[in-house]
Amino acid sequence: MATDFKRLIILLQEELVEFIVIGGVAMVAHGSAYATFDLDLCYRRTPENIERLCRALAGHDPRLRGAPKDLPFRFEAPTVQRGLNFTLATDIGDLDLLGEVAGLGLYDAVLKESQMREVFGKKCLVLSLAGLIKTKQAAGRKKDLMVLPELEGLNELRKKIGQEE
Amino acid sequence: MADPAVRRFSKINRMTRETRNQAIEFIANPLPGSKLAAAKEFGVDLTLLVENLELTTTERIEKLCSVASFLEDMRQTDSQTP
Repeated sequence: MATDFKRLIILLQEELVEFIVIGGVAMVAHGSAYATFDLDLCYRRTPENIERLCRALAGHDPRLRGAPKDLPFRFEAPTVQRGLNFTLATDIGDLDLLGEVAGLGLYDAVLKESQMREVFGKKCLVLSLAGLIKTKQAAGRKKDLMVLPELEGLNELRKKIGQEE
Repeated sequence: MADPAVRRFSKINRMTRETRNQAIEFIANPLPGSKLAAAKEFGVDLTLLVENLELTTTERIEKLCSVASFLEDMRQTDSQTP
């Protein structure tokens, strides 16, 4: 099943979850032609926000992606508080929740590198192109380095035509 | 309908015809040594970037949804083919 990015984002927006769109969807939001199958988000790790996050996903069968089906897992506040980054499958698609982002750090550090955009009629924080470039450089995996020329070219193009960050 | 504060953000997303023409000029002849030239050399299709910059953020994500859905259909068809 393809990830329903729109539904996932709206779901979290409606529950007032504090999150920042990062990864492939953030790249696309800035104009990249990259295709991704999951939604990567950095979430604020306050108890209130974790509660909101769990409430938002509660009706969508969140489970650990790739884990054995009999592995006991409940996406609830205590679970999230004990962990940091979660790679989830839900009945509306795959969702990666990161408490910490490579090259940037925790939510507040990611927030400083983010921009407010209009997404599906509501304000939504998206990691900036400069921030994305930092994370890809820091992650340093082959798949991250492969997208750097496009991101850097896009960043330069946006600056040249006055769509500067 | 989006509230006025939200609509303010959408303006910075949409590319005008004038900026589109500028963008086409830049990608057609990227300055040697520039990041655009490096991207072109790497094999990035710069025309797709200009095409995407003409869209709003929401439109870009909706386009991704369509692409992801199409690719998923292809993947399923492929896995069912003996």
